[in-house]
Amino acid sequence: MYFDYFNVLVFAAVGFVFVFANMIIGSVIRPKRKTEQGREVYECGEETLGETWVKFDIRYYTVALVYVIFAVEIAFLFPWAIVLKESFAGTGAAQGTGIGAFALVEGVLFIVVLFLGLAYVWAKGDLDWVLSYQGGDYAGRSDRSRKLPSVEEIRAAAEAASTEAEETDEGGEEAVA
Amino acid sequence: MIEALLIKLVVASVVFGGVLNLAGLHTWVERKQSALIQDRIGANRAPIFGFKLLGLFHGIADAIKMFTKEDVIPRGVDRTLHTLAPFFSVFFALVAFAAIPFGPQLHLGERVIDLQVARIDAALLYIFAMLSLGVYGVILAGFASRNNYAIMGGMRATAQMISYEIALGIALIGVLMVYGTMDLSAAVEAQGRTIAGGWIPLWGVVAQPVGFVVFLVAALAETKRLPFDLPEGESEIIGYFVEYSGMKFGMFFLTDFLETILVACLATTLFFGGWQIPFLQADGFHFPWGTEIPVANWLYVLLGVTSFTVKVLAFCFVFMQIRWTLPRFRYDQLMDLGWKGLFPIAVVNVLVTAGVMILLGGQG
Repeated sequence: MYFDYFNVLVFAAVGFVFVFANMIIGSVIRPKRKTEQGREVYECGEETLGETWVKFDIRYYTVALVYVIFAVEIAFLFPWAIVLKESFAGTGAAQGTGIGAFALVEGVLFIVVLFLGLAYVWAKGDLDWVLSYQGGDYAGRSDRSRKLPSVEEIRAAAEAASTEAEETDEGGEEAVA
Repeated sequence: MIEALLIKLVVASVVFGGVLNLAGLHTWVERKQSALIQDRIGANRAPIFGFKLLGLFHGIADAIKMFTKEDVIPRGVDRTLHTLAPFFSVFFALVAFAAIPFGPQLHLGERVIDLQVARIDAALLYIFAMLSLGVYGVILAGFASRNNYAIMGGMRATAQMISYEIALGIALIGVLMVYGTMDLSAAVEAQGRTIAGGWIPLWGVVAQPVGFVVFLVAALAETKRLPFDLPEGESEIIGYFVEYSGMKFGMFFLTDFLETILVACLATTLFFGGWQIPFLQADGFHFPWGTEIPVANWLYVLLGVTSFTVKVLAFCFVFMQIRWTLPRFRYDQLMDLGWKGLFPIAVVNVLVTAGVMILLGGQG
């Protein structure tokens, strides 16, 4: 078994050599004509405006934070998932312990806690990508997701607007008459 | 010991050559498939001695072009990270293949050879870790480029990859519960069993259909291909490797295909029986209607490897078909699907699996 972990290292070494060799071969045969224009940042032909390494949107940070929490919980669930079958069947390491129901309840409790965490984050609106701000504060929960009007709504609004316009036109004619 | 090491080196080179050539072939299939779907002729212009072979030589032309292109390192970038990012990206994608079993055990005289570079007990965890480490290549490429579009692309890619990793991990937990092991060879062997009187092979997709769907969608998002190609959409969205040229760009390009193949390998191994063929046991075919055909070990191994390759190619084909069929997601839809769609479904799937295992008394 440990010999196999050594094999992983061997494979990694072969991979490293492959990647490295590609770069070396490339650097030997490719042309080197460095000009000042050639070394400019590409950015669609425009020069970069302002500083690139700036503070970025808070939403990426939130996603990373939520990810770390759940990733750790998943890491704890992996060993549980592996031994669950043995603990039900009472074989292997669980021989004669009668641990089956206990293992299940423990695991399900853990998953429920995980789910509560998800529900909390969801209700707080941290899973919504489109946020809108009203003044200095966050908008209310119901207003956070941008709701695009449906086609029917747009059509109804357009009809309402046109009938309104017609009515005013008619009103104008009457006034002339 | 030396002999065992030499054998492993041979196996490693086979995996290496196979995977890299498959990636090369992938570019050709992708071009031809997109051409067929878009009613074009497609790549057919790179001849060698007048032979064009349906444009099969375009991969070679690509390689030559990438080797001979000038390597531009723009002014003001972080040179170390800028060079390291493509290394990280392709290295982790490549190394993950060490734990994929691509055939049953081969008996050569006295010797028993695992057709797997490394049969490690935490193989699934290892592959999962390597897949996660791929994020570093992406974020470093975006960060080091000192290009506003690149860093935004890098952030987008990172947020997407870590979001779908959660769903991917929980989908895998359901599979782990069924097999009771993280050793992928053991998982494939466990899929050799049959149910319903021997008529239906108990592949992962039979035991975990919901887990399979969640896995497939999340894995597709991990590879950053359409419909999840928001980090870098070839002709529309500027991505994290816009400042890379030549071989370094080639590395990112290769990573894309390597990850697709890796995901296809994983889906095959975990959900479609790996190298298993229905009704084929180590000593021959056992059909449920009573026919039995004995099979020698070398033929069994050959059939197993062929079966694995065909399944992987089929998955690659499906991924490409999806690419040319579905439109791209919007970013908030992407996040909603990952966190509010796949994640709860996967968790419920784990609970249901635990319940079914109780009913079956740990036998299932």
